[in-house]
Amino acid sequence: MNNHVPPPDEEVSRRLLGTVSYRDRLSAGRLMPPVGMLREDVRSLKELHLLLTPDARSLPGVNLDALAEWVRRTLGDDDLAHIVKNINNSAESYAEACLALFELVGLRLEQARQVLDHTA
Amino acid sequence: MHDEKDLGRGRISRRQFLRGATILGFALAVGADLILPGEVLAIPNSEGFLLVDLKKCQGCGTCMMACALAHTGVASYTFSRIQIEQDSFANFPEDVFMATCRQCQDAPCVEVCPVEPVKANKPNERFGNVRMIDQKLCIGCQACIDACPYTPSRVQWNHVIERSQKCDLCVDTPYLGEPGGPGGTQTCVKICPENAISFTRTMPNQKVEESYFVNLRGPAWGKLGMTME
Amino acid sequence: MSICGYAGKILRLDLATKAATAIPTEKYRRWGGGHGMGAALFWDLCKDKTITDGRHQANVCCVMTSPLNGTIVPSAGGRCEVVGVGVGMYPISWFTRSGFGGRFSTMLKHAGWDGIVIEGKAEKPVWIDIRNDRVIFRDASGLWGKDTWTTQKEIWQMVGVPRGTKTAWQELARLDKDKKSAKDEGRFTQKPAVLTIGPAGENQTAHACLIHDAGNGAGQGGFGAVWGSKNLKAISVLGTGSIRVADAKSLIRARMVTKEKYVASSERPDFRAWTRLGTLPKPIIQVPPPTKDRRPQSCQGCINGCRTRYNVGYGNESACQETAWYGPYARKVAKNAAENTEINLKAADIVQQYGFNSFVFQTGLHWLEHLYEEGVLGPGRKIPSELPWKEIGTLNFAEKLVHALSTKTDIGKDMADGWVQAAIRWGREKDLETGALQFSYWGWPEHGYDPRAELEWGYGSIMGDRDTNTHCFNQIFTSVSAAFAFAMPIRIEAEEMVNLHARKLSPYAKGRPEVLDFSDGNMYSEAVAQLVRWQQHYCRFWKQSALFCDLKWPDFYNTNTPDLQGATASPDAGEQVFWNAVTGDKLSFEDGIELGRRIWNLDNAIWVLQGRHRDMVHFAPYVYQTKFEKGELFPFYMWPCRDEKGEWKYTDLMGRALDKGKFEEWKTTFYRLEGWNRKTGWPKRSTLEKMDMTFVADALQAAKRLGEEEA
Repeated sequence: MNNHVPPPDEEVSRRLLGTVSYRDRLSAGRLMPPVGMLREDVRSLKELHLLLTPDARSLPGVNLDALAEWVRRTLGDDDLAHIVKNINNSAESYAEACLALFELVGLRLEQARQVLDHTA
Repeated sequence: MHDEKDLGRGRISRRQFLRGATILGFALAVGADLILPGEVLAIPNSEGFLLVDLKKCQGCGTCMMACALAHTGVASYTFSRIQIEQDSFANFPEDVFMATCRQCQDAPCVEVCPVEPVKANKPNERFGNVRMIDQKLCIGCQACIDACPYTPSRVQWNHVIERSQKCDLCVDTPYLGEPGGPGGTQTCVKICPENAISFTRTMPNQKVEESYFVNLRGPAWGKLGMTME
Repeated sequence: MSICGYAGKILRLDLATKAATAIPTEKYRRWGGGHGMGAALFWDLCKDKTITDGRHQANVCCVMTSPLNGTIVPSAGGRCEVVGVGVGMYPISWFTRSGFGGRFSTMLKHAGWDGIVIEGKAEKPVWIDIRNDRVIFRDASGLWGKDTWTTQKEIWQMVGVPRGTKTAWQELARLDKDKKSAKDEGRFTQKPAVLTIGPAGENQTAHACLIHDAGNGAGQGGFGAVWGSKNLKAISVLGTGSIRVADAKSLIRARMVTKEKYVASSERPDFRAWTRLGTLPKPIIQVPPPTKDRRPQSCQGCINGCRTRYNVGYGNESACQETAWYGPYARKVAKNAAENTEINLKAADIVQQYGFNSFVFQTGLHWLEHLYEEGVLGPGRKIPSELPWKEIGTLNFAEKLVHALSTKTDIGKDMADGWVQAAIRWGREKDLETGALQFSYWGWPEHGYDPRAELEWGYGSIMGDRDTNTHCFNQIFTSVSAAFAFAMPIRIEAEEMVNLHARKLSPYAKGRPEVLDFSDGNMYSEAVAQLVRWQQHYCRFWKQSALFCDLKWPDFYNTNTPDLQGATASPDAGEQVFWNAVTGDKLSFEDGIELGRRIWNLDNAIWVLQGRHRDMVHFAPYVYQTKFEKGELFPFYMWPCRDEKGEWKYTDLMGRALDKGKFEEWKTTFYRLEGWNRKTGWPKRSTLEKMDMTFVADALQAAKRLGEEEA
């Protein structure tokens, strides 16, 4: 599957590198046996990247459908939302999806930084 | 045959040798002091030694409690012949020390035992010359405790029966359920949940204190994210 | 019961008169040890069992060991139980419990004591210095105000024990340099085992806890505040004695069997073993460790340690939730993974030193963040707070927050009596309805195993006194959900999983796998009620009285064994094997469950005297009014359930709320099964008398709170 995403424009880049309001946060969490599940809400793409960072002790907890919708509606990045959906539909497991999303989100953050550096 | 005029050069005559050998043989037969002519104490080497991995111990004290149980049927730290010291507020690796009897070659605790004609603290020739204390003979003078050059002393004081005691590599462990001694099981070795204690027949270098501290960590240890060094 | 395993006497402290007397353990042996003995002692010695705040002078706090402590029973040698009326619960602080590990119970047994009963209030702060039979009340004015680590180190110094290792043998009788005791009291190489409060306890705040060594804590229940209210700073114990064991040979053999059969082999390690008892020594720290230069560290007698000590100077002995409480925030602030680890482990050190239970932050910190983000809490706001909320995630914020809560300053003043109480004071009751404040049961935070999904956890908590925090079954959820997440093969399929459990759930649920079916169609069933009964009874005896560690026991299934059977109730290394080897009793596993039932009934009787009625036994409103949404915290919550055809499958339990009416019916079923009056939840005379607890029935009758007999 081609998960290539073209660089965002300047407006989207600013939103991708910014922080959304508390009310627009994405509900998320983390499963940490034996502590249980902890809330770890996300308010930016950077925080999403942190949430998804692979960790031997825990699994990030996110509704991948809700994530795609949040990316589209709150961050305003249709392209990214589309790829998120693709990954969600095609990954062999939830953990695989998280790993793929981790890489995708990392790439997107870098793209957004480069766009803003270029236009600065 | 050397005649007696050679004795001036420090050699002994055949007659003296035979006499000494007879005494020695007799002494061994009755378990008497191993005093050679010239008052030299000859202590045969132990055939077993405990080695420890100071970085592997989890400080659970199971060895201590099991040691006391195997020997006496009671669980205790004070009456354990292995001591694990730990300081919760110290950092790794100085937070834990494992104090085991080294079955020293020169065995100062044996040498100093004043009991006669048979020492209370002596190598047990029936069990690989393990340095062990016969509590029926011990008079409770505690000289052996003081003679141990290591800290904490590897000889313990049993204040209830007022006798010394020490690690015997599980020779005298009526509660172990299997033979101990150099040819058998050592409770602490077998029971340690981290396998941080091992047994060897090879005497460690007596001149190097650290020769008893070994690395017992296998590949799994590294995979668990702990140091292999 | 025999005398083996027990020291033979219990220390009774009257802090007001500075009297130390001995109670013969024999009098309380029918209750086993730990919680059972502590509850029975509380019953006898607390003059006013109607109190509902643990800071009341009438409160009696018991710190209890079990006959298994100080022996090599795997993962039972080092636990200790604290009971008494708690602090900070809502609407009533129940008679409650907390457990902690380390060295304290072992040392107390070696000193010749099976437990400590603490009554009254000292006129000025004291610490108790126990050296075998000698009990000395010492002035704690020099320690008051100090953190838990400084306190312990200073007590070691005052007792005369040097820091560090490679220390010489010391004679107990010669510790007091001025006092020359004629009697040889034995020698030791160990450090005193000290249990202490920090500033949180001194200020009697809710969620203040008791700390021992660097990272062992009696966290829940607010016992730090109980000690603070009594002017009790610390208890130090040194012992040179021993514990007689009935059958040392069998004990050693059973311990060896446990290691060889039930625990993952270090030569052929199974890093993903499905077992509780038999895992490899992987410390349960919730961040990547700061260094490989570390060792596993454990309570006395543990079969594989859950903690660790490093060479970096922080984080030692902290594990589990205390290394995770700040994680969601630290992660966003840390520049890199190493800094994230450092912040989290230092945040753990902070709560340890203040003696503050970090579990309240499990959901509580998100609530405070919510209030801040909603513009309600902060500088100059409706809920004033000068804490640096913009810096949440930094160590500075963590320290200031814990300091405020521990010293009753800033928001700590309003929160000192409890967080739900604070919510009400601030006009935020609605947060309990919306789920913004997820304090599900008795004013305690939801544990991380949502009561709308994992039923035995929530039900057991609400039918008891606190967050049950008993991990008997929830490894099913974690193991299976992780396998699903990674699309890995399921090592034990659903039907086999429930059957492996059902084999050992005697007597109530033996051979009844349906007790584990948490599907919508079974969630309010009699079967689930039997599971909850089994869990509470098992825990009250085997875990909280015999003191088998909650992290390792019960061991229902174990992939290290050829037939997948776990150690629990097994004929070679089951709980009863160890109990009998130590005590000489002939207890069956089921006998232990029955003992647990009696202890549970005693607890309920105390709660009833405190004012309990079934009408108050309810979850926080959000549990009924909102659904546990899919992906709210995790995409699925897998659990074995039967489908319409009766076939077992792992099923996602997310997406539902509890039905209040159906839960009411379930409660009725539970009361019926327990032999408690269904209208009130109060025990009935007939139930109590069958358990040789007529004295309890008489007391309830005198208080006009005995459950009426029913047809």
